[in-house]
Amino acid sequence: LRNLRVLVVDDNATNRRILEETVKAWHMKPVLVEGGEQALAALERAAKGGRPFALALIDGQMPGMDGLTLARRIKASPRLASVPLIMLTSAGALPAGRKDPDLAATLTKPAKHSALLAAMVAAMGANGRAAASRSPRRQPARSLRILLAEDDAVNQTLAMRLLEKRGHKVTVASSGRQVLDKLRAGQFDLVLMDVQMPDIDGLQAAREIRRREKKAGGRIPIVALTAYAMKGDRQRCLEAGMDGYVAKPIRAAELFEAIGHASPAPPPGADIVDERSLLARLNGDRSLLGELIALFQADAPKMLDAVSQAITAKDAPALQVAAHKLKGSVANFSSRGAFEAALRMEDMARRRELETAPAAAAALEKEIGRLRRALKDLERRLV
Amino acid sequence: MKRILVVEDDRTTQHLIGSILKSAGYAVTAVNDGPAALVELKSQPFDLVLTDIWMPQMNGIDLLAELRKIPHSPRAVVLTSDTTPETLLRAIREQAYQFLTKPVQGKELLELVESTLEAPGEIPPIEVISAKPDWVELLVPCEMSTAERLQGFIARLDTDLSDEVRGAVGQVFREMLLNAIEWGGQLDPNRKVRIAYLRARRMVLYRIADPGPGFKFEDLTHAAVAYSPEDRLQYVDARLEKGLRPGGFGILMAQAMVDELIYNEVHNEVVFVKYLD
Repeated sequence: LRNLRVLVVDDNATNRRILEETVKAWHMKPVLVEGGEQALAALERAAKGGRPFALALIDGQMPGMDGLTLARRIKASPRLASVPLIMLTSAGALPAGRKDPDLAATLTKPAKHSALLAAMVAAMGANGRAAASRSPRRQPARSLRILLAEDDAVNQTLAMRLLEKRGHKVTVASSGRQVLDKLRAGQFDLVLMDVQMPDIDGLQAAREIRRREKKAGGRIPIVALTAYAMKGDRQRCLEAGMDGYVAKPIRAAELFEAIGHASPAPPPGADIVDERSLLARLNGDRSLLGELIALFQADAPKMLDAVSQAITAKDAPALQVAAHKLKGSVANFSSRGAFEAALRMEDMARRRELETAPAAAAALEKEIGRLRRALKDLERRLV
Repeated sequence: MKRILVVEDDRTTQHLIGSILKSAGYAVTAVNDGPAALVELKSQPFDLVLTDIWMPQMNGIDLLAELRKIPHSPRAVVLTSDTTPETLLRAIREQAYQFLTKPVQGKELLELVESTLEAPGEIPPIEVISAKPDWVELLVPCEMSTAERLQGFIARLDTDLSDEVRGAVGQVFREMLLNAIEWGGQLDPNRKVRIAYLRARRMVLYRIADPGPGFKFEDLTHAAVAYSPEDRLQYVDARLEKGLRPGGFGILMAQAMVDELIYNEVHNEVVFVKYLD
């Protein structure tokens, strides 16, 4: 949530201050306005400037334009519709249990901080961590190199921001011709393509890409971005050789879903170690990562030996120490499978229950083997 | 150049920590166990010790105890993974300055090292009165960096609670602790705030007693809670006039976030409770 921009709309100055303090305490960036018209202006300015709001908190009862009217106006504007809205109302102002399709959540004032935070995280949907962990399918195990073909500056910025936040590397093209040139020059995992572009349009570009691939081999996934909302368009995109379809205005959840469906299978090992988060932990130091891998490769067999010796000797305290040590070492590579296998072994030893230890040791060895192979591949990619 | 002693038996982790510290400009000495650490500590001065808990020969807690015997000993940061509350409390009793969770994140490591090295030199220690995991009681000097450290300690005691409960309790604890240190203790490190943390099956309870004379709500011109909702903006001016830290919604916020918030008659002790179910 850090640094996300949140629009606070409330006519009461005290409530604005309270919401400001609250939002700031969660390290988000609040912008305060006192009414519907100012809110619309702020949202427009932000969208034009390429820094759209992640969320708006709207007071239900305001003089002039009330909260629901404001929500309708926001959702009616293609440029603003993707901003999730949370409404804060006085008790009894809205029928209980009523779900308004324009609102991500409705909270009764005074809202508990925990409830507000939960609603905000849920509302930000695919951008928020909570949603990402609910639907692992949308969460890429690795960073994709995406060629983004979009000539409209606002959509370009919005898509780029969403993609980069997900850890993807984005290259921008603003015409069909540029797409073809950039694909020839560089390596990409996926193309995200506007259908309407100057010179060569998206459909033509897609056909040309598929024609070239027939000769050169390979098949890059292409996801269409289109402003038309007609059924026939989906068909036209697929016929042109595209793999997926996202309607504009771009919504984070749909975009990631389409990318998830279309994106190529990850290379072996990508599900075992996450290169991106690993490097982030090491402040981006690739050579340090290489050194750590080398040390772990050298020490892992010894650590596994200590585990199996303790099991043979039926020495639970020694097993606990050996498993704990292996777990700590593995944890450095954010590798879940191996970490959990070592953790299970350690727990078993702590409870002094060694009957199933040999089976657990076999599982642990297998996980460590997979991790070591994945690290070997990763090491090659580092050089 | 600040000198840091790293005590960690896993080679990969030791290299990771050492490299990140070195590239940030620290002079690093790394050893595998407690006895080797003591040899280094006797041969040269260090500004900081970073130590693992589980190590062959001498564990991290014993090393902390030995460290205290050395005159002008450096501050110690303890590396933890799934450390139990018992071990954490023993480390606090042995004057661990701060904790760092493994696996180590580069940025977090550097921030923690920097804040530990920069903290004022002569702060009286945190005294541990009770170190039972279900009843922790501490005497804490009224000083800002100590407040920050204490939050790190308490957050690690509550690891089995849901993120929501921990978040709420953590924020309220922070607000109430800062009030006690700032208002009750007037930021005087020689005065103490007494903190109790009780953990029962269906609740967590905190009691914070400050050394001040207490207060009356109507005299709290600096706090939002003293105003009726319509007048709360006045509080902003009141705080600005006094040059206070931003905020002042502490008590208001706390009332909304926990289930009970009770002051004693003179208002120098507060108890708050969060029910678990």
